Amino acid sequence: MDALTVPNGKKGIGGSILRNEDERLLSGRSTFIADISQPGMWEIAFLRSPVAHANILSVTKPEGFEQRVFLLSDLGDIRPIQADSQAKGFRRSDYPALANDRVRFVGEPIAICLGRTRAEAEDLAQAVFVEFEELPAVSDLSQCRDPAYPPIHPGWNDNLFLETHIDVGDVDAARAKAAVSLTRQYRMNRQAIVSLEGRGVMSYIDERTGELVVYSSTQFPHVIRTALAHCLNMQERELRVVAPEVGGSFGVKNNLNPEEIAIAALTKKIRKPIRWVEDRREHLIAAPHAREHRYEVTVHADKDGLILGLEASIDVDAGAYSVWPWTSPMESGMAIGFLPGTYTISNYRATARTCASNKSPMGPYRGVGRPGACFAIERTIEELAVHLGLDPVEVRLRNYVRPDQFPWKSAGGKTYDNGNYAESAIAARDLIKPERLTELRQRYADSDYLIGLGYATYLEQTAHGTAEWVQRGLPVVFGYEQAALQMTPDGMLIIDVPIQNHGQGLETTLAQVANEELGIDPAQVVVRHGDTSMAPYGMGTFASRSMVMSGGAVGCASALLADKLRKIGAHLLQVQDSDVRLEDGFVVANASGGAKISLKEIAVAAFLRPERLPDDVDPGLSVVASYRTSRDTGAWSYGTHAAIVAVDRGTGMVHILDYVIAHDCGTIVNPMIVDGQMMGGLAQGIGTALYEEMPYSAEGQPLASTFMDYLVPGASEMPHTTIEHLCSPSPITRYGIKGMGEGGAIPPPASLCNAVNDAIRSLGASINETPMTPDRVLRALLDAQAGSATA
Amino acid sequence: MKPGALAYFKPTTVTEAIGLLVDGGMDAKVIAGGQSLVPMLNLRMVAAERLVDVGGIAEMKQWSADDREVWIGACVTHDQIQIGEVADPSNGLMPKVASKIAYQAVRNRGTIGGSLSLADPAADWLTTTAALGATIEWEGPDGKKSCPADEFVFAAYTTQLDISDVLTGVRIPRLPPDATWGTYKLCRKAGEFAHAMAMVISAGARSRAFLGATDGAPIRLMHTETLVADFRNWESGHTALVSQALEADIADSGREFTDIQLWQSRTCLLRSIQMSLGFQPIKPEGV
Amino acid sequence: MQIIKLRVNGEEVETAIDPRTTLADFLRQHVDARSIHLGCEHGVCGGCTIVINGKMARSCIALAATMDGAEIWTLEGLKDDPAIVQLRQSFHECHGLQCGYCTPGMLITARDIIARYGEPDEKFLREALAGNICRCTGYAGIVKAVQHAAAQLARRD
Repeated sequence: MDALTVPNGKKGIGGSILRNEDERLLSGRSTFIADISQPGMWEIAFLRSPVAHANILSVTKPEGFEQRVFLLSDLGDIRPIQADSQAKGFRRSDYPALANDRVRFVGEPIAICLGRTRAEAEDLAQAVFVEFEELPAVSDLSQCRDPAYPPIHPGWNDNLFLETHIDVGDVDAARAKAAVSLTRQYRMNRQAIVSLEGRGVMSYIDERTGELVVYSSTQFPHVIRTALAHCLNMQERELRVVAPEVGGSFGVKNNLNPEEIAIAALTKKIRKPIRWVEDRREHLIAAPHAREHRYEVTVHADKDGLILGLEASIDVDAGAYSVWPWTSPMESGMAIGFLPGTYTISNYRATARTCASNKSPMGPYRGVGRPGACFAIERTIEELAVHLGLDPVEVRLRNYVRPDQFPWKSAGGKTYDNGNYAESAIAARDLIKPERLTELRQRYADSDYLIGLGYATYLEQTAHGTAEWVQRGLPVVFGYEQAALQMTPDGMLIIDVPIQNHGQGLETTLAQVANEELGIDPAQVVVRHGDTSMAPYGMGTFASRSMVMSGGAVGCASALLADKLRKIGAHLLQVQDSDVRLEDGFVVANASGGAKISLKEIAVAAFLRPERLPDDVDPGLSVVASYRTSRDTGAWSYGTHAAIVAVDRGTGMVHILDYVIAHDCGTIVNPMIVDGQMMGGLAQGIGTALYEEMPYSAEGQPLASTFMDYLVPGASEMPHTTIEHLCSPSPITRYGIKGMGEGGAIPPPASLCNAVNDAIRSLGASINETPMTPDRVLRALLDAQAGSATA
Repeated sequence: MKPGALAYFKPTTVTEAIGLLVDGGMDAKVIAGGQSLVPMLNLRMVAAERLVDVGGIAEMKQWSADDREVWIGACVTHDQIQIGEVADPSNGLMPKVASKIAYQAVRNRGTIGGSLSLADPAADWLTTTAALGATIEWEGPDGKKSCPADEFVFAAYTTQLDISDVLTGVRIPRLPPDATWGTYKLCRKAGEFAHAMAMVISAGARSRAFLGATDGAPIRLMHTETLVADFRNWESGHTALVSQALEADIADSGREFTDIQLWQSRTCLLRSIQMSLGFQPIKPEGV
Repeated sequence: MQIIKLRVNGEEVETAIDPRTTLADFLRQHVDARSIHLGCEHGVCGGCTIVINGKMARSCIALAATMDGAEIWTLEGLKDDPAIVQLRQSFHECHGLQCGYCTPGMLITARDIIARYGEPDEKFLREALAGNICRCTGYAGIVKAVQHAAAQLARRD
């Protein structure tokens, strides 16, 4: 991890400069949602369903407190969340702001209770009496089409949101030709998402502007404004949505929440400030969940490991409702689209089912669908290699899309822009040094520790453009970003962007982009974000898009501003426009020993002394620009992870001895920040692989509701890690940047499961399920032992 | 996630505390460091209309020692034991155990008496005091009482304490100077609750062996103790002997173990015995 | 309601509280100690870590009512503490934070680790940080920052 803070002298793109946002965060004085209040504010506790599936027969408010408890019928005419996919056969689910006649998962909000303190609000929530008529709860994927479980939504005949199919090439011919056909099953279990700060909303009426002001800990304030306006029958100009300091998101704050609608509607009705701060139990049981994929994969290959065809059956439990704007089939759609991965698979047949259940709705989480798809294909590749007695990297090398094949149209319907997948695998192999294995295994032969090595190559589609979102059938198409730049009369730069920065360092990296065009010290640039009243419309921060999209918009706007600065500067220096350049806060004449003029002097002319401007230049230094990628099918980061693990056969614990990452995210804007994102993603990927799970009982009760039973990795659980950066600038984005926020989280379940299987294979054991808890690993070992004992 | 309404009392004597508890009946709870109770109050898994804070009772924060035993007041914190502020009767076992309870910030406030009173099966002090042959002391409306630590717990979260009793302290006999010990617990991550735990004191005829983190009280392993009493060094042949002894011990205990729990407990026990004999099994660096 | 009197960040505070109020909520509400970040409210995540009577503690699982007479320091009051000043600089230089939500608790925990152990080795340091969850960084920058600060402070002693 030595690359973290090595300065390289650059301040623009490529510079490991320190972050502009650190100072306020290191003081602890910044304002997160729980730090924002208004005079007279009431605190909210939601009464949430204690049962998974039931008709609500009646709700009785506590006597004397009727005016402090609000049901859906108290909120006026509001629309439910309708996240409808354009996909053929999709079944809709109306997700009400508060449950009205039926609850569909434990934790679903039923009533808003107001108190002067949160404790008083919780007292009220405890005192509300709800009469339920319980219904059978769908708590497992196998129940999706079981007639014993009635459909959870009206008008449905089973519990399937959508079934999709892909049939490309000729899989039957591939099967007939194959020397080997292997079938394997995999499970990636459901997990929570866990931003360290929960979700939260504070809203009030601004009596001066008349606006309904909604502070929400969200990743996309403008989009929330659009959605709230729709659900509340308001005009967007009547709403202001602000994302304050946001304490981590990872996708969980990237949905329109029923709580947001209910709170905004209640504020509109009672015209009093109210605040909801999600607590950890609410977050774990009632915020959107992630993963829960099951796969059956069959690979057809020749005797050298060349893949001839791939078949798959994919099931995803999407929970009770379709979340807006992603829609419930997002996970299964990503899984089916990404299963062919980095390989030249041209014969592909797959079915993906999105099932409904009485669990919290499935939402986006770092990686979205791809950790599961990567897990399935990368496990299968290694199984194929083992079956054929071949080296797993060699098998991959035989199947990767080659650099000369880009743009590659995948069997999953995606268009990959560029890269060199083989280079990443070879780099990872060189870093992990597989030749160490023999020696390690000898050294620990008489110990309780089994040593294994595993690889996984991943793809990370980023900055998905218009075509991608249209293909997915989403209600909103996130194909562009805007940026507004304004200089101040003292020559400083303010950038207003509609994305939202919650740890990614965008206040620094966008300033670096501005520096690239304008030569202004990034430390002098203010990047403002997360407020619909400041920035022009835009889509927010998610799906590894902001560096490409917002960076592109800032780059475009900066270039326009640079033109104007050069023009004014040249005029003031009395040289031709074409004879000057921008450098370190000055317009400099190109001539040797050239004169220069500071941006401050130019700003003074532009704002305060317009008589100094050229005749054909208007006063002011403000620019709004919009950006989209030149091809709108995404910029594709990728890489290969490799892990060496020790499996403790005495306990079932998996210890990671060494971990390496060789990845390519195109042009790197800030290497320090890229390493930080990679390590953060890795921690979450390790969480998926080894620790994090949200199990449900047969009755639909979530079985992890605190950090005592939901384990996220701590410092001790993170391995020694080496990162190598490769660089294939994207041909379709400004500066060649690719997004990279999710890549770290995608392959660890696959690389670690491959490593664990490599470790336990000699005992005849295997495991194909995450998280690989000590009990699951031990189950695999004991089963193998029992099997060999009876054999 | 905030506690329900409660009334708070901070008595300065044990007698006063018991009076407050008697008045409060079922709705009264004792609070010491609060490191387990307040989370449960916050989660509203426990309601306490009346909290009786024993942190103001001076004698319960004290400790004393002579050449036979050490008495530790119930309100002594894990940290005080960890850093050696309290006399150690255990040849280093108790400071070591203390240093592995949860996290430093929790150890700074959590108390030995609170941990024992709650009797979470995974709690380290239940097994440790049992292994050390300690005596748990408490006081209630009927006066002072005590019992051996390995008879204190009936089941998970259920002890000999009545609703108005206050655990006042623990009396721990000093280990012989040449006694050694070993302990091993399986935690999925650092600081997390144990899923399996064993503790072994190797002291010839006074050897003791326990399993903790079970579904209830720590389990004394008499067959294992007999076996361990004769061990001088770790030998690979011991593994099979210990496994047999453990199976006999578990059968005697009448407790249910899944094959996985048994396997993990056996591992904890083997590693504890090895540790007590000064044997360091091979393991990868960093594990 | 119950009256408590205590010192927070060097200043005396005397006020009436609802006895069920946690110390974290009390400090956030009464002295605007917003550096206290609530991440779990059951003592696991470490975001609310402060110093009570000289010892690091979780403010979310302490009741304010039990704090009569206590001396309390939050990150706000420690802003000029030499270890905190160094740690802030080291966290900045080593990219030891992303969203910043865990950061105040990390700083106070790191201060305690350095005070107790000086310059611990990396394995020990990681275990000592186990009570503080960071969901963003993967801890690499945090571990490096604490090591950096420990070395700087040791050099100064």
